Amino acid sequence: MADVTPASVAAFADYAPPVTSLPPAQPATLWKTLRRDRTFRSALAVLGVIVGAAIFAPLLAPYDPAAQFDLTTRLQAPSAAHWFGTDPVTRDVLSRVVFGARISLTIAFLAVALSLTIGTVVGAAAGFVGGSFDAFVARSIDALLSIPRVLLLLSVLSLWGELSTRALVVLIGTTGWFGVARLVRGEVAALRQRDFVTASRALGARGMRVLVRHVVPHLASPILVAATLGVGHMIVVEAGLSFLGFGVPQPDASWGSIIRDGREFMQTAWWLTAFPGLALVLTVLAVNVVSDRLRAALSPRQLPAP
Amino acid sequence: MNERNTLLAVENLRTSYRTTHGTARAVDNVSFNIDAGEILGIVGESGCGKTATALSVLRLIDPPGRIEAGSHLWFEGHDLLTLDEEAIRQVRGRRIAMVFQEPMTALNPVFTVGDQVAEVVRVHTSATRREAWARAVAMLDRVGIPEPAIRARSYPHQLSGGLRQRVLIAMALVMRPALLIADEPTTALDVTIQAQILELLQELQREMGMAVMLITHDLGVVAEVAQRVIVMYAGQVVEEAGVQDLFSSPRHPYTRGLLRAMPRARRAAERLQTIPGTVPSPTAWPAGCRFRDRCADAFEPCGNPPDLFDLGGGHRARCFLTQVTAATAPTEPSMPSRI
Repeated sequence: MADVTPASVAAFADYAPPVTSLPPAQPATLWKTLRRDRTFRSALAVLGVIVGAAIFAPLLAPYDPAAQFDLTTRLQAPSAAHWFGTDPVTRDVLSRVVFGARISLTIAFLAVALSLTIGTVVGAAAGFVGGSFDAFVARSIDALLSIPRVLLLLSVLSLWGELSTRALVVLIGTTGWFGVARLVRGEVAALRQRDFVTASRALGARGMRVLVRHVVPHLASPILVAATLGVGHMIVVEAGLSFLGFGVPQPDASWGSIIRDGREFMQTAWWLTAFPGLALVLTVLAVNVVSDRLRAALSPRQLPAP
Repeated sequence: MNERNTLLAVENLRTSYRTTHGTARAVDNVSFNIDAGEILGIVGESGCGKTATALSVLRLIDPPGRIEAGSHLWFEGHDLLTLDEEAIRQVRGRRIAMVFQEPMTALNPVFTVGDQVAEVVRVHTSATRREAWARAVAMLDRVGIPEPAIRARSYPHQLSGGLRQRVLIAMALVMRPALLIADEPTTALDVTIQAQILELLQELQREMGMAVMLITHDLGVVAEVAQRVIVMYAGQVVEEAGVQDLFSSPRHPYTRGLLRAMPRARRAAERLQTIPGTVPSPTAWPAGCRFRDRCADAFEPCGNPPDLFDLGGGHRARCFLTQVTAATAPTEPSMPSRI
């Protein structure tokens, strides 16, 4: 079981990217660098397979993930008919894992999109406006970051009981933007001091134009890295919640809830937890590798001389 | 010189920054005028308040810095300090433009240079993208960039330092401002390129009839292009004179020190002299004359702050010695008064 440790939470929150490179990587240059990177390619391939499985789940899954069969087929070990075996109520584990990818990845992507949006807007506003507003926002973010994520999520969940998948996305997303906001705020505050920003103001550009044209494009690299890292993180958070029984409502099942369903049989039917666990670990690992290689490729040292 | 046409009158400008070590009074009661069409040099070493003065004129001082009450910046009939944000934005780039020191960092690396010149046009006019681009290319041509239509599509890192500085000049001048503030425009460039850029600035200045506030620590640059010079030290104006006057009869010991520290062709064999000591901290300017600790000629009156004494002929200096010589030798032929 991938855990939701404070360390993994902190890894996302404390991520500080290198100072924006000069000149920034052009997409074409970036791709040229990454294409030669074997680790990156393998991670991307793994991700491709998993995302592909999620998208084409109805075509790939051998059975309906909710279909139940003759009770004699319950808890069968992996076989030609059921590659990942069957669960206590005779459902096909492979089909459940493939459909589980849909749930897990969708929640992660949507939650990241939400947290990046909120984090970027809040962080950019604070960093760009500066002054006491910035100080207020920065201290608030520090305060919010000091609350353990799991504690926050569990207390909210225990108030509302079972949440719909949509509400779950909103909850994970709205509690995940603090780190992003801090990251973006720092970047924007640094960019605001750059000469070309002053030059643009000196030539009469409005604040909004300065922000959109001269600050935001430089946020692409750090946000891209934060986004990939965030996807891995969100998958883990969601799996953790589902494992604890606060995740997606039945009959939907994410990897976390599949692992939860199989935990009582861990000693007799290892395939119930091993396969969804493997899917989870592989996905998060691949996402983190992609993120790491991206960050390396985006750092100035990796750029070929202009 | 009664028909002097004052373009910008800086009056008692005080700009300070709040720091953890106290308030740094970067610009401390600075007053001067710039006439339409003239080139005024502002000289001084790093940290003397030159750049803070320039940024103050455009109201680009960000917190923790602020322009203190009582300061006035009269320009084209308004006090720039009383304009609202939108009005000062209209002034920036259109009536007063600025060229920055570092051509490497003052251009945005993610846009083409043509785009960045065109942006200034689009900020201030309702020109379409195409019209703005055409004006940008014409301006790049005007500042001497070869093949402007092609170079306009280059990114800053694809151009040399000299060309980048030309791009910055194009950005500043594309709206034909009445006043150009050039902050160390040649400092980051090779000597040969420096001369070209100065020549270009002079040429454009004559052609457009604009005034230039040329900030530099290089007296050679001032001698070459400026008509009038202001010497700044420790946040104050210490001497102001016509360029001939300043080089032939500097009246402030600091100015003399700067001149002695300047290499000259005719004195090639001589060792250059330096000014002993360092500039005092702006959070704690010394009482009295701020140059006293570094001045070989300091005497008792220097414990009090000297005024900027008017020496006639537009020559002013912040030094008590000017008063002593005037008293002991009242008939000393100062510059013939042109008033």
